[in-house]
Amino acid sequence: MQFGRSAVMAGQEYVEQNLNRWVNRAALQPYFNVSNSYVVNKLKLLVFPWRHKLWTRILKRSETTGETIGYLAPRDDINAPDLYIPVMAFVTYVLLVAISAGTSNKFSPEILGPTASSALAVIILEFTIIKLCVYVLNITSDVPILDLLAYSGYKFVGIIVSIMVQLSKAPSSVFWSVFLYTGAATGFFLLRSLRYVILPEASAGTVLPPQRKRRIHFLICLSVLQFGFMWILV
Amino acid sequence: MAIGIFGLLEVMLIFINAIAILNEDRFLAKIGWGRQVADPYGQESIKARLVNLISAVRTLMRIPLIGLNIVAILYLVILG
Repeated sequence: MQFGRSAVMAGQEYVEQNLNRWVNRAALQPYFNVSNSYVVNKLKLLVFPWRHKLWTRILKRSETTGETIGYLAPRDDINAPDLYIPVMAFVTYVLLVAISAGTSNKFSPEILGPTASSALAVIILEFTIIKLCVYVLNITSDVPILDLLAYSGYKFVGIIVSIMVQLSKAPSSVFWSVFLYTGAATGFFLLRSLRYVILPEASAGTVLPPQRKRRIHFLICLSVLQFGFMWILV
Repeated sequence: MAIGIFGLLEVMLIFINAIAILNEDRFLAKIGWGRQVADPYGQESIKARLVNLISAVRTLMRIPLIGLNIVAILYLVILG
């Protein structure tokens, strides 16, 4: 008994050591610090973002000095990007595609790999486009990579809703209207959330009007692009 | 299932290759995209940023690209 326990402990330690070498746990942890109410509210916000008023993230202040140290975790702030919803939505999306292949008797296990791979490819493509535009437009706000991944992963929620409608054998006009609605909702959500990334308020003084205009155009293009990405995946 | 992750990586590799083979004297200088003196104050135009990006890719990626291309060719020959 004692021997078994120590073996398990040693195994755990080994895994933890190797995991820490490859993955920065401290940076990843706040993204999964979610609560039930946060997840429900965020999903509601993703499906119906039109009435949400305040989109800024809440700054976290140090208890002793009162200086700002990063942002609050998603548990306490609905506007904070998390990775829980994108990861879960990604897995659900892959399974749903498999189910929809199964309903037309075309399922084979080989579907799962290419589906996940193409979904990942879309995320990487969007990430590359954003990074490239941020460089070309000379935007100096340093956004964490994981934030961008989270924001581009939220589109799977809209895609899942569309696929559900498709699965329920609704007429194609209903499917297309639902698809357009979820696309618009995702685009609007991204427009409002990324606004604080691409147009930082603090450096408003240094941004010239033409530059500001270009950045706004980039934001709008990015939200319109969501339709394209979602269409590829549906 | 339009394109997989390896397809995307391949596309990116080919694009970087395309940027890396642009010739400074024969091509870029003629259309006015030659290397310029960097503006120290940061308020550069989009074109200046692109020119910087191209020259950075050309100087920085030349040797890594050889290795990446060899890996991609071997992968495609064996598994493609």
